[in-house]
Amino acid sequence: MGTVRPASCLVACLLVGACDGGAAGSLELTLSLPSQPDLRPTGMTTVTLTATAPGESPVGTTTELSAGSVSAGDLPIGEGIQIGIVLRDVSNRIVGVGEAGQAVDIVGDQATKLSIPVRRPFVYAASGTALYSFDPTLDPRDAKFQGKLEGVTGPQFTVSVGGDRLAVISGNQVQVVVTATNTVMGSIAVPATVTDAAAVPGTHKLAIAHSGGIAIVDLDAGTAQNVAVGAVDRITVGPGGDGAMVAYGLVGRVLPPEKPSMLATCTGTSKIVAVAVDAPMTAVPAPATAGISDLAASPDVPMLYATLPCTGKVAKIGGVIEGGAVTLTDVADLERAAVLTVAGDRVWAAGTKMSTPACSTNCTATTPVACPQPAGNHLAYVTEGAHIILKSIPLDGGMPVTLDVPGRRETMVDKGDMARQHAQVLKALGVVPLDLVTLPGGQYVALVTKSRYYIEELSDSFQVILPCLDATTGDWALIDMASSSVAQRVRTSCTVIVGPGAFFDMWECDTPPDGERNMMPTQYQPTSIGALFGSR
Amino acid sequence: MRAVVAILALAVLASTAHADPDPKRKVCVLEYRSGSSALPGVAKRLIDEMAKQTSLQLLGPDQARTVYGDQLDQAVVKCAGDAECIAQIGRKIGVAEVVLVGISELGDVILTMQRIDANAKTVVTRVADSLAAKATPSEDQINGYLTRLLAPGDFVRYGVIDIVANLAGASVTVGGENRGLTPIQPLKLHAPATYTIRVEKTDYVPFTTKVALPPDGEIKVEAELSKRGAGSAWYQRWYVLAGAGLLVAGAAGTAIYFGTRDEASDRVPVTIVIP
Repeated sequence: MGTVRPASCLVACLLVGACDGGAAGSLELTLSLPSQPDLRPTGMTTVTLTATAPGESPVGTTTELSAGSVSAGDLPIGEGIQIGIVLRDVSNRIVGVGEAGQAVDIVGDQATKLSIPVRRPFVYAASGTALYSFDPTLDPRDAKFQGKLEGVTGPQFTVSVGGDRLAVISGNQVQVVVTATNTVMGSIAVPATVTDAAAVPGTHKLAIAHSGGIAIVDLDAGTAQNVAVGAVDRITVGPGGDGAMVAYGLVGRVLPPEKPSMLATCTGTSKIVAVAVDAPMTAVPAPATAGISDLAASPDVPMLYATLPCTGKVAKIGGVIEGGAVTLTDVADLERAAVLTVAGDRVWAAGTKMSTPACSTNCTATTPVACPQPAGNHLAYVTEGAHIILKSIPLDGGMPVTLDVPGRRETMVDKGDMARQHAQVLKALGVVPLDLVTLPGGQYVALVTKSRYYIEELSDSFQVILPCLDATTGDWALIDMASSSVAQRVRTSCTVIVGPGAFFDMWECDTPPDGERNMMPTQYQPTSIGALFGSR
Repeated sequence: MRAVVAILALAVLASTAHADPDPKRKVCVLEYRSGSSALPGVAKRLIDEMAKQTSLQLLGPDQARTVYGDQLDQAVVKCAGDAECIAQIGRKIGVAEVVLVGISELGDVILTMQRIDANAKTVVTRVADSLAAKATPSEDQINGYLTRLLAPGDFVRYGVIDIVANLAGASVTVGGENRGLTPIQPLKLHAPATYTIRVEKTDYVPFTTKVALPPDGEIKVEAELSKRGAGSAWYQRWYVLAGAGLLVAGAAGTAIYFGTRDEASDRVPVTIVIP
């Protein structure tokens, strides 16, 4: 089938007399899917192919799938093109994602062949003792929606490295998991206790933050290059001004307080250190003017962002990091800003809308929140519960999108009531987003959170009728930014401290609705989260 | 009483999976009260939310009464919640489905909602909740009921963008996705949403715009592409054009030959293989 060359090209060719037909170009993408049924994407009806050239907006085509091979339109030629694949089912739910391990050159007169690993978009939550998986392609009531990855020890962080590898970090080692089979293929030692990890885009490398500095780990070579810059709490990787990858470390992380500002102060300042990934050398951290809770670099352009929990902002970082001082330019308001990431052309950040507390006399930063209930001034209850806020901020400075995730209430039931109707419904005193990851395509954001609920005891003039209750929960949530809703949610743990000496003295957390229950044998508090091909 | 509550708790979870029906089908919402005056206007609130969130053609109790006649309320009461009987009313009104909202009181206020297929004469989904006396369901609760009651596809809405360009053969990109070359058919897209539209052709200034597409709306975008540097460039003078015309005419045969051969292009076809 011939193609008609554009007229301008024809004239140019005629003038220079140098047109050479040559062979027609093509791009053949072979999707490499796991053979195990539990890991292999199923039910896909369409495939969306995206191609992103450096510095350009992505272009894409969506094609209905049929058996064997399908024609998926055409793509412009170019160099350094990043290819991504999203498989969706008939209800438009993502059932598979894939990304080429390395950028490819698409040439107009050559046949290019590429194999792309495609996986279910598993989300992983690490608790420090086990690594749990969530399969968002399944109904939450499906027995395989929640799972546990066997063979890994003490997982604290999970990082998707090119999609075909999963790095599970624990203590001072990196365990490498092959995602086609979910088996551990080996481990690499790092010099000290790991505090955070980030993938180096387009490579099989990791930047590791640890108690002694930063290590660059090459999963293919099995090596770790260490730079002693002092304890680093968080890490992210992105291109520097010259295009070379840089690992940015956060020193002196300031965590957002769990309690609202009426009951807790938020203070501190942080520093940032930058280390070149290809030539790691000792560097001096540069001081920032505010406390920072998290850092995230764009994987494509030299932009670095931070969450400022005390001032309630998301800020863009500028200035000189190496030996200088960084500047923070506010890009969005976000109360109790806690964690963030950059995916595509947007920053995704999570913070907390603080609760409104009521105290027995007055609320101050020293007012105790405890059970058994202290004598004197203490927290009584909250009138407005805390809830998570998600922000999606365009890198180009456009208007941020804000999603107020509906606040959760926890029901405590009286175990002595056989009908389980005698209950207290508690609003959250505090909700802290511990970690967040965006799934490929940017439609879904997964979060792990820790929440606290409190109510004082109820007494008449004679005795304590209802005890004080102090409950803590762990949650995993998948937020659908397209519909501004919580798509899936699992309460992974709930523990309650019950005050003594009350008439009704046997209380426990009520069972969450079907689909939100922890189906694992034990409760756990997830502390970090990762997703295949996801951005964290 | 405790047994009743337990049964209701199960009913809240009951639902049946079905293939997504036509998202623009006619649906009638009827209200049935079993001696309760609680939750006044709850059916209207459901209708209002359905109208806001879906493309369903909705008939409320008043409109249904106009079609069916004044005996509608008596007929609904006589059906006593029986799906086949309600379906018969639905067919008479001329709707595909009936949503029957029931309100009764057993200590708490019991709110039930059944979506009944008028032709199949069966209950498609059923949602129930118990509410404290004098409590009214919040907007979130109403949305929660609807999410469980209606098909997921009912919440997916579309609009149409009709892109008309002054040139044929210009490449059209909508929301980052290539949609082909002009002239193109009107595009049916998810709504509400904002789309960036780009129409471009070599040697022409690209046309770019952003449109907010409302649900069930149609937006016509007229893309005027103008020649780069049009107006005063040296190459637009008559003698240059005449010379170029001669050159092109003289080389036409060669041009057609080269132009129709398989050759290097600025785009390549893509094939996806799933082993």
